[in-house]
Amino acid sequence: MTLLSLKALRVVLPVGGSDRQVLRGVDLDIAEGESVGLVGESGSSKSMTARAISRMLPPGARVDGRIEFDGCDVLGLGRKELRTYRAHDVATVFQDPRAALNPVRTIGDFLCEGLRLTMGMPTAMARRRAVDLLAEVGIDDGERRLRQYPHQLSGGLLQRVVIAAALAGEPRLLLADEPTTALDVSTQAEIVAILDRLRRTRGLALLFISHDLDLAASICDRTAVMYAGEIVELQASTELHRAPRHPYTIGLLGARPDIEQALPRLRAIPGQPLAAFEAPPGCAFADRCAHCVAACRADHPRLEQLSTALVRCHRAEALQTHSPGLAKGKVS
Amino acid sequence: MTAMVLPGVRPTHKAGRASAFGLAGRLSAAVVIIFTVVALIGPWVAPHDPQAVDLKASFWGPDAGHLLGYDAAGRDLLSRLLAGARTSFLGPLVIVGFATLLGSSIAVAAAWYGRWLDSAVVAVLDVALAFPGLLLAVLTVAIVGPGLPAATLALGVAYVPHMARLVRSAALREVGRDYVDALRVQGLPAVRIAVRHVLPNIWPIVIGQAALTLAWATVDLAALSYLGLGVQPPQPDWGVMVAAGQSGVLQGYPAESVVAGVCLVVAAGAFNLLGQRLLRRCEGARAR
Repeated sequence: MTLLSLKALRVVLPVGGSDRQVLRGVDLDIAEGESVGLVGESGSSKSMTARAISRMLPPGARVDGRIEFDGCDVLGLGRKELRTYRAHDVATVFQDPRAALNPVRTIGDFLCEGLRLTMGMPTAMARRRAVDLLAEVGIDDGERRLRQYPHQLSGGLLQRVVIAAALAGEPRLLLADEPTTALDVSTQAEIVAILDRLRRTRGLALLFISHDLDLAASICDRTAVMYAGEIVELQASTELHRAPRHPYTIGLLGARPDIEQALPRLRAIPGQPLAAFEAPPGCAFADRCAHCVAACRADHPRLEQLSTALVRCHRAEALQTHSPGLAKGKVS
Repeated sequence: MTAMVLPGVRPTHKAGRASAFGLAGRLSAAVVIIFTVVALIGPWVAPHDPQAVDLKASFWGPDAGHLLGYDAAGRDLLSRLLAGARTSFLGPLVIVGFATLLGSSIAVAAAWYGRWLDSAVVAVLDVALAFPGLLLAVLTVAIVGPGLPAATLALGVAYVPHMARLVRSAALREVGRDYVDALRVQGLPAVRIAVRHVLPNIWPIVIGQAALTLAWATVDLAALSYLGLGVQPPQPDWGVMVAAGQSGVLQGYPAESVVAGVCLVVAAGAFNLLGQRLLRRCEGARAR
């Protein structure tokens, strides 16, 4: 059953007097218990998608389209309903755990405040629950941790605390906005493992935002690739790696360094990534695409079904049939 | 990651603390404490009745029972000084308390809701700041009538813009931090986040600015009393004493004006130094 549904979601932000489009019509469904990856370069508005879902867009943002959570219109929620929605339905894990915690309050304050206020627990019960939540994310000495301040904990531990806090409201959807980007690689693996385990044991739906295709594939059922404020390709993670359809995805997969191959230089996608507001009327990727034809610049491609994938490319079908060697850059 | 900003966390290093605060800072803190104690218990420890008139002793020099001598009306100067500390020193505290409470509430609300509320607050503050506080107070007292309550309220309102402007910029920086977003997505009410999380992080700046404002308030309240708009004679007050002592200055007996003036200068100077040190310390904590 569909838990979250984004329909033609558009977001415009006012930037210094002028309006800038950051989301240009995003359609995405997340089923209950499903994990979906949202992958793209910086500036492709991945985080804006997450912020739109939790209604945390900057003041002045104009939102168009529909966000439905469990059949309910999120954009139409009133003040009080919005707080309930944030407290119990959707939880967010932020990129930098050090910034996500108030430096002058203890871990215990941070965890218990939400439990007391949104779950209505008495203090002693909230503390016990907080210890349980910490145990669930792999922190065993919870009692001691509750008394500590954020600066006394390592980044990996803090991110676990943030995840524990996210679980406090028993959410059904977890938005993980680059939860491992600020951490080192070994900690990254631990955090991803925790998220994966929680999702399975609790039946949580997960929107995993990352710029790392491999990381997203390791935890997500389906992966959506974003470019310049729209989804350009969406398919099952394993399929996406085996048979990417959009030239941008192919480029991203090809651009990963490979330790088994000695290359004179890395295969990078030529040009600079576009921000959503810079996108031309045609295909946003046209300028960087090796397969661009006149139609690509004239017409904005729609997200269309191509075998198992949804692809936003005029030439996807032609490229698939006529040049099977296109995906060669992919690591086998 | 770059250096973390921990505004509320003080350095635990002993040497670091002393160097940031300095001898002058500690000295002014001591002065403030002593003056506060005197202001609280002054009327009870005064050796004589500060209102007792003895015209035979007019301008009489210091003697064993009267360490600072007598004023024009033959009242004991030391007793008047001690009793006057209450209005001269505690009055500014009330003024600043009022300005701090109102100013920081406005500032945090503006920073939190942003947009039109923030623009409106900034516009009003800019206009209010262009208007000298003392002039505003004189105007208010002229309308309402002289007296300590009117002068205190008028000065309190006059300092609100100074407080609000500084706190707003600090709060704006704090509201933009991720932890505020993290609390909002947990579904916590806005007022709670603002009061329990944002305010504690900008406290040091609020306290520092409050101490600086105390210095101005001390001088301004004394000035109002000096002009006859604040505390009314014969009630003892340092500003009133400076004014009353003027006739003595012309006759060669400057004691009354001088001792009250010295007290005012020392109090204002101590507040000023203390405020500067406190503000510098939180800037130091930010720079680390």
